[in-house]
Amino acid sequence: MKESTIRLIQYFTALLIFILIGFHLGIFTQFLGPGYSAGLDYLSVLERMKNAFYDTIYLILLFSLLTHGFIGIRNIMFEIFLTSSIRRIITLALIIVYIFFLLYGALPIFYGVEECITCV
Amino acid sequence: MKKDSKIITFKIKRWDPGKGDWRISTYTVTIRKGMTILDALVHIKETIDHTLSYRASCRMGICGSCGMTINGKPRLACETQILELKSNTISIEPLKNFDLIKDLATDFSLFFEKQTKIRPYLIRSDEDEYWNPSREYKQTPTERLLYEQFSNCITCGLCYAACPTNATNINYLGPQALMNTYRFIADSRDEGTLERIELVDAVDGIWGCHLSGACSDVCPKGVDPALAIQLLRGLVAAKALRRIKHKKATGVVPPSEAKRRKGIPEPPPFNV
Amino acid sequence: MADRKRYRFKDNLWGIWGWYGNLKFNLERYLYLIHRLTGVGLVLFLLLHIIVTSSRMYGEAAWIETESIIQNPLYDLGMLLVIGALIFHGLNGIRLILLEYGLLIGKPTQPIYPYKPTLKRRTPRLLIILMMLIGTVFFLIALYEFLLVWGVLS
Repeated sequence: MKESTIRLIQYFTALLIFILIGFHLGIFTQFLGPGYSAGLDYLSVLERMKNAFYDTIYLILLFSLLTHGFIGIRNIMFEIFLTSSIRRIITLALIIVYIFFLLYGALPIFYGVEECITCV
Repeated sequence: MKKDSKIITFKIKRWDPGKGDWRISTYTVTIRKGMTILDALVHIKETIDHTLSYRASCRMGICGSCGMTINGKPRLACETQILELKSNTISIEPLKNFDLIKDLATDFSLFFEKQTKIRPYLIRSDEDEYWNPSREYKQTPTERLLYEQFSNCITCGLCYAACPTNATNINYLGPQALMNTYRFIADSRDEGTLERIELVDAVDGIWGCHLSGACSDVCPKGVDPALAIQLLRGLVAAKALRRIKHKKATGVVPPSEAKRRKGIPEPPPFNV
Repeated sequence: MADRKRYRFKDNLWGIWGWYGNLKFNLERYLYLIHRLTGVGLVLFLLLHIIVTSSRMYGEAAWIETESIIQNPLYDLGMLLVIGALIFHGLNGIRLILLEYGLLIGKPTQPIYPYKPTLKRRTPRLLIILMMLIGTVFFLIALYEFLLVWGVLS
């Protein structure tokens, strides 16, 4: 991939994150949502997980956060390590970690939504 | 002691190429008002220590040879007034991020290699006119203003020494080379926009810039490399979004239609 | 290409220390440094956050257990720090996007002594002030929320 494409992805995900993070944090304030403690309540979380709207937002947020973050880490690494072979190893390692966390982070959005002990 | 003179200690960090190590020499010099760091260095070399090496030429901020790290910041030795630094101890080091020759003299070969890499000359498609020019190329004063600021660069390397990306990445083109790329792209007589964008579109090219602005902060000529790099980045991004077309350069100026008035004699023929 | 072995760069390269650069440079350079530090910090937090919140998929018991670990003032304080870092990184990022594409950075002019780089002119500096003001408002909202949690406010 061309470097300019990577950087454009970086900027577009940045803008996406800026909007979505506001939404994500807004839930945990008194002004827009249930508040910090109440928002972390299991039922409250589960309710959000069952909502397709929240699911979509969390998925997009997870994807853009990880993409943005890992491109950033890659850039810092590339400034410190200059040899192209080391750079290739770094890219490979980062891609593996990236995919792992993408899958691991996406799992709780879909998995285990029905397993609720105290649900009414 | 006169009112406007002062005793100043110079701590000079010198590179010893024989041993391959640093050593620090301390000199005490009586400074008069108006003396620059370069004046003090000349004084030290002439009267105190003849072995001190540094590079300097014009003494007036034109040649760009005497860049040094003075009190932790890259500056031109000839343009830095000692009394304006307002400290009794002045530390002088060679320019950071450059290869060393001896003492304060640094090797600019990699710097100039990068400068030549970005093709710092007019690229044109009209080969005949380019090699056998009939007239000068057309350019209005407004078009000239787009790059005039950037053509003031004296390649002193201060921006390169101040740049935080160059601090770790020796392959990074550096503010000077990127600024020069934009200087030629912004030139209305040039047609090499797309080629140059290809050259700088890399991690070690334009995208190594993070807008820390240190280059513009230290530039002794007001060239403002940070501005040029951001404008260039806009062009590179526009190219990635396919919003840029091949630039057609302006042609030569049309022949003058003014006629010689009667009674005014012809100029004598050129004799050089 | 010059002989690479001839270069004794390491002796004169500023290195990672040069990102910090003796505290002698302009304001933007330190914004860049904080931007980088907060960026790395936020990525580390993101990975931690993913691991912590993933406990939800193991059921309510696991979630409550994780909550009991993370619900202490120290973790909350760390959370507040993360939010501060996030606000800084986000707003500074917006500033960078606006400037880096040449949108608000200005135009080349004839340099007249004393030289003033574009970054030190009005618009970019106003952007920094605006960014700090908006950031303070956001941070106060977050602080208010945490004060409620800690029981300082009711």
